Amino acid sequence: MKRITRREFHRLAAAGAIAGAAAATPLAQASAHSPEAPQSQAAAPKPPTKLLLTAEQEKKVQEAIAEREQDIAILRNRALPYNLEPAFVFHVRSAARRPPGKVN
Amino acid sequence: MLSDDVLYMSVRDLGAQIKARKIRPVQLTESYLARLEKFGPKLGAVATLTSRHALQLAKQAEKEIDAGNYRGPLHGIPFGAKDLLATKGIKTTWGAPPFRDQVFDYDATVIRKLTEAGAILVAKLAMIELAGGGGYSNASASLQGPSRCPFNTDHWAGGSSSGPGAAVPSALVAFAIGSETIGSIITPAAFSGVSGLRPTYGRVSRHGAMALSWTMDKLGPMCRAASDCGLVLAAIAGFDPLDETSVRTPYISRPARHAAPGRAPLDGKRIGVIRPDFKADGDPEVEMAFNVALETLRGLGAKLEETQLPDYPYSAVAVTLYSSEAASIFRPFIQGEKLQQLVDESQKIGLVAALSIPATDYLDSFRLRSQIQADLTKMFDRFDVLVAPSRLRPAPRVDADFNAPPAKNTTEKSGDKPAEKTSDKPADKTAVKPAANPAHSNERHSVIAASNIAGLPAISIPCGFTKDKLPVGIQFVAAALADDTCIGFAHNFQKATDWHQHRPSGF
Repeated sequence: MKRITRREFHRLAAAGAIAGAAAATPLAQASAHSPEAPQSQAAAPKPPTKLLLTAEQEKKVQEAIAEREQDIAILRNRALPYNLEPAFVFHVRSAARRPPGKVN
Repeated sequence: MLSDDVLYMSVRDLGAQIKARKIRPVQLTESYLARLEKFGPKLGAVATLTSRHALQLAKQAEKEIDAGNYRGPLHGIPFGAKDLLATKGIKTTWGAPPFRDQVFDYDATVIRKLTEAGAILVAKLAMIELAGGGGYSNASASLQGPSRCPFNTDHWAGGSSSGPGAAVPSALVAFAIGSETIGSIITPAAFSGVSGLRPTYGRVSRHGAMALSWTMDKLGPMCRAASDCGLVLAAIAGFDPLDETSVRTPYISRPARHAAPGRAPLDGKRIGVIRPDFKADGDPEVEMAFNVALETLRGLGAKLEETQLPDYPYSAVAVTLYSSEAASIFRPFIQGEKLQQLVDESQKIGLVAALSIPATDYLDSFRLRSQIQADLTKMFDRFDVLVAPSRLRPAPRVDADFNAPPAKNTTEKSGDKPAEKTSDKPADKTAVKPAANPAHSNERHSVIAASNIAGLPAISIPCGFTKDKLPVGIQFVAAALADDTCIGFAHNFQKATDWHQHRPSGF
């Protein structure tokens, strides 16, 4: 694995907000190996793959997504204070979590 | 069989009669089961009858009471549960054809707690498929078909807790448990003339309930009397290690609190009135009933002041939150072949579209949720409760298309006029469509969306009827964990009125 200097890490982090494992792969290198060019923010979200829909349903899904993009603009246009954290808080646990429920 | 007068009694009164051994649990259970069999199909109220299980529990209750082991006010009381609560060995369909044969090997915590309190599950009740998480376009969006309002069976009972909406006011059960992500208790309570409590988020364990949105799902009682909601909540509330979001703050039911002698029951209580623009959005008969209800509250001594919700895009936030979570929860189902087995086409499209909500939108909604929570909390420095109409229009017809464009307001009678068919997007998930232009939106009146985002408790109780015998509801919203405040206001309102005692004819 290619090592990077602390200075280079900070440069990459600032450019791409990388962290943890991703920090071990320089951003430029990651982009070069990525199968797809990163989408611009303005691009419409990618429709889900692996769906078993009819052509008519696919069309309606696209219409629904387009409508949502319009509806959600009111949310995206709202300036949020930099230090406003989400309403949920991740917290560490001293004990193991319960096992998930079982369905027959 | 017991008389209708007995079966329409409140839970509190039934409990007193059982304790005094004037009513026997077996006879009571048999009587409710007979009504469920007779009227359940007509109202589309039932998913599964649990007769054998119920009669076993009733016999056990009878033995215990005879032996002097009375467990409390729910001992021997038959109830129904929305069919999204896991019941060991009994089908739990989530109202959806793909899950028609689903059986869990455990009880939801709510079911376990009610059983421990001595209550008797007599039926799993109908619901909109998957609690309408992807949106739905009509009342038939259910494995069980449309549930009907008992007061006018041409109209819908409301959703997604549609079975409880139909079964409670027609006395097919003594009470029911519904669930709400955004409007699913308040809406059927309003449309069917029920007293429905949506408790504070975390007040009641969600363990064993179908997850639609981990951060917005709530379970609550639907009863004929508001004070009964307190009795049931006392039995089902409390911390549960199986639901880490459940709260430890104890709930104590005190709905019968009285004002000091010589003072009006709500003397000095402050009510913030959220008055929607009825001319743009509502129905004149609902407006009239709401205004009369406000006068009643004023007559009880409360101080009323018109107010507005803080300016936030509540609908966009709510839709983004629950849709994202539903998409994550149901992703394997959405991407599988069984999706096509759902009844409602809108539901399929909505669930698939939700898969592509960007994470940034979800997180931004959660950040706004922090602000909304803080700002709504501040409102309760000024007010004990907020009141608003539960729904701006009465129940739509069962054949109405919820996706049809909203009707212009009209002074025509509500009912079978085409212009009235569309109502105000009656279902919860279809009711919170974000408005693109806030200047022309009714976001500052979006009480259901706002209070669900903030996890606040609310109760809807009947406050009138239209000329077409359709119930009208008023809702009381209180600060987080002030569930009993909601119940107290509703209880005092019901002591001064008799809307909750109306019985549907023919049932």
